Amino acid sequence: MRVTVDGFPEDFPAGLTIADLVDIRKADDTTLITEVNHRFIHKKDYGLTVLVDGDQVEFIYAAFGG
Amino acid sequence: MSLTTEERNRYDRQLMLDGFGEPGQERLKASRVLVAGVGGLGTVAAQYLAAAGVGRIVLVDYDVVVMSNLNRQILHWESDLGRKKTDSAAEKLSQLNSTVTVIPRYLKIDDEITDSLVTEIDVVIDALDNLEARQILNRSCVKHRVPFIFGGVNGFKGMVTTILPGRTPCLACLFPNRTGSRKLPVLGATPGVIAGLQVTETIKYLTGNGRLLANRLLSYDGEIMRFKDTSVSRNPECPVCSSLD
Repeated sequence: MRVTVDGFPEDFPAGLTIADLVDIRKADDTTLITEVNHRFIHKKDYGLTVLVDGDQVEFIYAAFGG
Repeated sequence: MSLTTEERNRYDRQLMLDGFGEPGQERLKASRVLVAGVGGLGTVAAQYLAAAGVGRIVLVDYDVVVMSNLNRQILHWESDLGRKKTDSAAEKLSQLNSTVTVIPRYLKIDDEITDSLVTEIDVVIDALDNLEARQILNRSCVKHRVPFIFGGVNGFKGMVTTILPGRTPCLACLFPNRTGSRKLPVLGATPGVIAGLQVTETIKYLTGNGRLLANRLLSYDGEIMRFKDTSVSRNPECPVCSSLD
């Protein structure tokens, strides 16, 4: 299946979850926010959210400076 | 709380706004806004609040002005080095608009004090520089159902969302971690952009105008000049706000 991550389409095996993708991308960070098809995904749901062909994923890093 | 002739003249350009008028200005005059943090975000936010005629502005910070603040904290000047940020900012705001009341509170956001800060406040502008203090302030705002306008910056980037306790996700829904502070790079104009958006949200809320940035997280990236809007939702298991309806 093809999933677009941060604007770039890539092929991944079926059944990929957000947690898997975070692992693959080594994106784990306390400030990480994940959006799938413009919707925020709660951290507790990373392992439950299975991506499907055509999904668009964006990793956003929260800004906590002031 | 009616307007004086001088106030009608002073606020003429915003009185002309659709849906604003004298009733909107009177609401601002009667409003109480807390600015938590008087740094990059807070100095910009406080200036626009004062200029707009928000009647009572409470400034909270527990820091003094140092040289490395001056690239972005635009209410603090060279002559303020070593002064409390709350005093430095309050002095200039009073000169900018002597008709508003500015209350400097030199204290640290912590579990003991914060609850008492947000009572008798209509909106809190989050201009803090670390997640830990934000989580404390968020808890107090949720407890007292005070709107909390989250803003944060990092380098060329920033984000904003309007938190209405019980109606939108709270900060802990979005960022369950308790800590996330470190020394970050900041282009001075970035907090200018983000604080401008926070004040826009605050004034919209206080006057009942426009559509709020509620249930949406707006991210800004000045490096590629892009704004991005993400739909957000409450976490039904949130330890801070899930019991609110």
